[in-house]
This record gives sequence, structure tokens and C-alpha cells, in this order.
Amino acid sequence: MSQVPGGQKTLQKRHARAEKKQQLSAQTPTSTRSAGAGGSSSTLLKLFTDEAQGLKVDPLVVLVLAVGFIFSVVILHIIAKLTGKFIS
Amino acid sequence: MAEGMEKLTEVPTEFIREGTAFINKCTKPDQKEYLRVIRAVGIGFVMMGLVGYGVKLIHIPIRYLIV
Amino acid sequence: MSSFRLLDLMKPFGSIIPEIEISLGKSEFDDKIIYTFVSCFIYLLLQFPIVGVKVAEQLSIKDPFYWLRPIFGSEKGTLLEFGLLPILTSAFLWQLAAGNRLLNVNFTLKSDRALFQTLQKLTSVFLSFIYSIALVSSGYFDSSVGNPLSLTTAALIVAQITLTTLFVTLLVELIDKGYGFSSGVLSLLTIAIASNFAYNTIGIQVLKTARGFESVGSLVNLMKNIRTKPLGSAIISSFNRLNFSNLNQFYITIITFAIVMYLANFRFELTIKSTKVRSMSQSYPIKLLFCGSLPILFTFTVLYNLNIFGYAISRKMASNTLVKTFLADYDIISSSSIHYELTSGLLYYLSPSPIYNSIISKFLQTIIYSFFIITTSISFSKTWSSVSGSSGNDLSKTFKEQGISILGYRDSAITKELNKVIPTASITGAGILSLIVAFSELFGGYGLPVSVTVGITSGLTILESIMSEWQQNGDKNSSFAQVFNPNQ
Repeated sequence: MSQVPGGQKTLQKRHARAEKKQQLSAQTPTSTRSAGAGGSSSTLLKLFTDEAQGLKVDPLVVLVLAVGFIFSVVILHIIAKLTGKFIS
Repeated sequence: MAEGMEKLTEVPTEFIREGTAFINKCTKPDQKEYLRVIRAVGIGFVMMGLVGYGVKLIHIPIRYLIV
Repeated sequence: MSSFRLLDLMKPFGSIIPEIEISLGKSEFDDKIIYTFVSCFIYLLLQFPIVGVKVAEQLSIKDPFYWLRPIFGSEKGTLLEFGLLPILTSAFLWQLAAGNRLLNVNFTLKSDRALFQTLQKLTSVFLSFIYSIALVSSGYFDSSVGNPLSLTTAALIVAQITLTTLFVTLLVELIDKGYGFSSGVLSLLTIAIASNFAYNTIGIQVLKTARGFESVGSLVNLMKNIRTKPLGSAIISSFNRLNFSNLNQFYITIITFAIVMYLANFRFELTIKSTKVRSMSQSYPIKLLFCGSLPILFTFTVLYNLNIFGYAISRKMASNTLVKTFLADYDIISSSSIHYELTSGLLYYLSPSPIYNSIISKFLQTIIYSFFIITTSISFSKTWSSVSGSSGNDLSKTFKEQGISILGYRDSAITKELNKVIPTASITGAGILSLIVAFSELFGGYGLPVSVTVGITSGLTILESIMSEWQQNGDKNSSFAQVFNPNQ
């Protein structure tokens, strides 16, 4: 005898529903890559591959800014040395 | 309790069994291939290291300048 | 489902956060080499002392994280105080959250992907802010100055570290977006690890320590010791010094390197055949190290995070014995040492600390530490292989799209077969790799062998993607390709 309340039919229905749910969850992608848009793979971490509507900057500008940042730190060092500030 | 213990040991042994089976099925590099890879990667790694270390050395004069 | 989404909080930030333009059209191969090189160059230049920490005494900062640093390209007392840690932490955190559906994000929508990216970027900068506050407030930098920092100096230090992380994020993004090769994080990591290895082996710098002047590089130190000291003590002291890298670390690293290189070439070969075109059957390798170095990287990311907060808390509540016994306690073991060592608490058991409290605690530490490393890596690799878009389902989808079938399997059985092989490969690979790493650390590697493991596996991954790009672009300059293409 069936031990499931509602008999075999409910069980089958339940199975079907569970399967459908599983399929659905298998379909929604879990990462940028499985959505087919680049991004990290199993061995490769690719974090920023999408275009967001933000403050657009040219890559060269970023490189120049980064070097500028290092320079500003160097200059701060020199100022700190001359005035004795910041170094408590 | 005994059942719990059984489960506790079952997972690692299962894992080890599957793992060794998988490794046995794997294609392993032969000596020639291995030596080729190790040379290529080793040289690449050391070259990168030397270049990177060169960049690091730039810091030394700058440090003397600002100290 | 829930109407509130964390992702929507990112919308206002979307327009403020700097964002690198996506490259129109394909960048030239040579351009990519230049961009990658310059980015790595800038990353290395960022290892510059922070303003506010006395430059001369930057080395005197007592370092509690020395065994974690090489893996993340971080350097104490410099702008790269945390290296790539904030970026890696935020990447792992959000990707795992999204993969386990804790974070509601629909990756098929472009807008959601953009928001997800903004979230990652913002989190990494924010984390760096939090970390630096934790360290500044716990008096980490004080030992280099001698007394507590003034408020302006503290603020200056936090600002510098946070800004640096923003710039590093942008460098990573620049490489990721196709101006450079493959993955930004891994490229920067590989170059940082390689140069750190060179620095620790053949570093010619001479630094003043409590034992007199010492060379940084372990091999250089050995040469010098042989010249200046009697042979026996020369060799012994170059093997067991603790403040700089020693020969012990060097040969463990070399052994690890050899083993990992061997393992990296283990692969399970599936015979595939095109269903559309009549052609020879080819082999499609599924690597044993399916997740590459990422499981190890993840495990040490967790450890580094734990240690930062553990250190901050244990310093703040130094008098609290509960914290000391249960969380962590850091101590300096000898006056000549420039490191803090973990001496007790939970974090002691999660570290390969050289402290011997007693045989039993050492034994327990060995077991717990190895267990932690192995289980964390394995469980991460299991999740990651299914989440990162390289799972059996994903792969079989690509196979179907390209009209490829596996020899000896019906179309319907392909997914099943792939779903069986891939998790096994990734779990086994992560298990073996983490075992090696745990061993190397317990024999006194202090992070160097782990970093080299991460470095060479990442390097191999990058190399492969460069090679495949090369071949796709039709540039079959095979003389170059053969030298640098060990895997095909």
C-alpha cells in the first residue's frame, strides 16, 4: 500500500513539480559566465567585464592617474620630511 | 552514535576511493613532457621574478632620497 | 520573492564609481602586452612606504601576517598593506553568495550584471577601509613610530590605503576588460609572487637587524655566511633564521614547485567528435586541478581575514583572557624577531605557527590546521566548479552549441557524464593541492611555497588563455608558441 497521503497520483505530481523546479533553478545562471557574458571561469578570476553606466574613464587616464597617485605620495613624504608633520 | 561514526568515516573513504580511481584514469605527463613544462614555466617564472625584482630595486634610491 | 534587493542599493553609486570604458574592437596583441606590463609595473611601484610611517623604521613594524603576505602580493608598511586581499575577498564573497542564491541577482540582465560589478568594486574599497581602520586602531603602525599615532596621521594612513585599493581595482578592471591578458587579479598576483620569490632568494639588499647586517635573499645570505663564518654554523644559520627567508623555505618551495607542476599536467581525456563535420576525433582534457589555484587562494583569503580581525580584537582587548584563550594571542618570541607569532587561541590552531607550547598542542595544531586547509579548499572547489559557469551542465550546453559529442556516449548521457567527471576532478584536485600546501606550511614554508603554488598555477592559466587567443587571432608564429606552450 502507498504510504503517501493522497496516493500515487499526488506523489507523481509532487515529483513532477520538484523536477520542474530543479530544471528551473538549473536554468537561471549563477554567474556572469554561465549567463554567457564572460567573467570568471573555473580557473580564471575575471571580475570586471561588464559595462556599467558610470564615470567612464579611458584606460590610459587610469594608468596616468595611478602614477600620479604614487607621485603625490612621494611628494607627501618629502613635505613630511621637511616640516616634520604627520610623523608623530 | 555508532551510525553517526560510520557516516563520519564513510565520507572521507568514499572521497579517497573516488579520488584515487579518478587519478588512475588520468593521463599523466611523461618525463619528456614534464621536463619541457617545468623548464618553460620555471624560466618564465624566474624571468618575471627578475623583472619584478628590478622594479622593486627602483624603490631603494627613492627611499634614500626621502629619508 | 522579496522585494528588497541588496543590488538595488548600488544604483546611486553606479554613476559615481569610476568605470573603465570597454574597448571598442579588439585590442592588438602588442597593445595588450604593453597594457599588462604597465599595469604590473604600477602595481609593483605601489609597494611604496606609507606617509606617516617612518620610512627608515618601516621594517620595524612587527608583522603578524608575514606568513600570509606572499600569497596576496602585500607588503607591510607600504601602500599595498593588503595587496589584492580586499578585491579577492569581495569577489569570492559575492560570487559565492550569488552562486548559492543568497544574493538575488539575475545574471541574464545586463543591468544586473553591471550592478553586481559595482557591488564588487565598492565592497573591495570598503573592505580595505575597514581593514586599515582595524589595523590603525589596534596600534599596528605604532611600533614604527614609538607612540600612538595622532589622529591626522591615522586618517592619512587610512586614506592612502583605501585610495590604493581603488587604483588597484581599476588596474584589475583595465586588464579584465580586454586591454590586457586574461585575468587582472591573477596577472598582478603572479608578477607580485614571482618578484617576491626573487626578492627572497637572490635579494641583494642588506638590512640592519639585531644580529647585525643581513642579506634578504636566502641564497645570497648563504654565500655571505660561507665567506664570513665557519662552515657548519654558516649553513645552519642560513637554514633556520626566522626574520628573513631561509634556505629551508627555499628548498621546500622548489619541491612544491616540482610536485605542483607534475600535478598540473594530470588530465582526464574525453574523446570528442564533431557531429556536423566528419573529422578526426580529438581529446578534450579535463584537468585534475580543475579549479586551478582558486581553492587555495580562497582558503588563505579566509585565513587572512580572520587574522586581521583576530589581531585587531586581541590587541584592543589585550587584558581579556577570554579573547586570549579562545580567539587569538600574538606575541614576539625573540627580541630579534620582526614578526608577531600566534601563541594561543583558535587562530593559533589555524596557523602553521612555529611556537611550541607543548607536544599535544603542536600535534593538535598540525591536525586542525591541515583539516581546515583541506576541507575549506574542497568545499570551495565543489561550489566553485558548479557555480562559475564551467559545470557539467554549462559544458554540455557549449558542446551542443558547437556540435560536439563525446565518443561512446549518447547525446543525453553527455551531461550526466560531465556532471560526474567535473566535480570529481575539481574536488580531488583541490584535495591534493591543499594537502601539499598544508605539508609545505607545516615544514616551515611560511607562505613562500603556497605563494609559488598559486603563482605557477595562475601563470599556467594565464599562459593558456594567451595561447588560445594567439591561435584564434590566426597569429601562428609557431616558434614563439612552442616555447611558451607547454600544455598542448
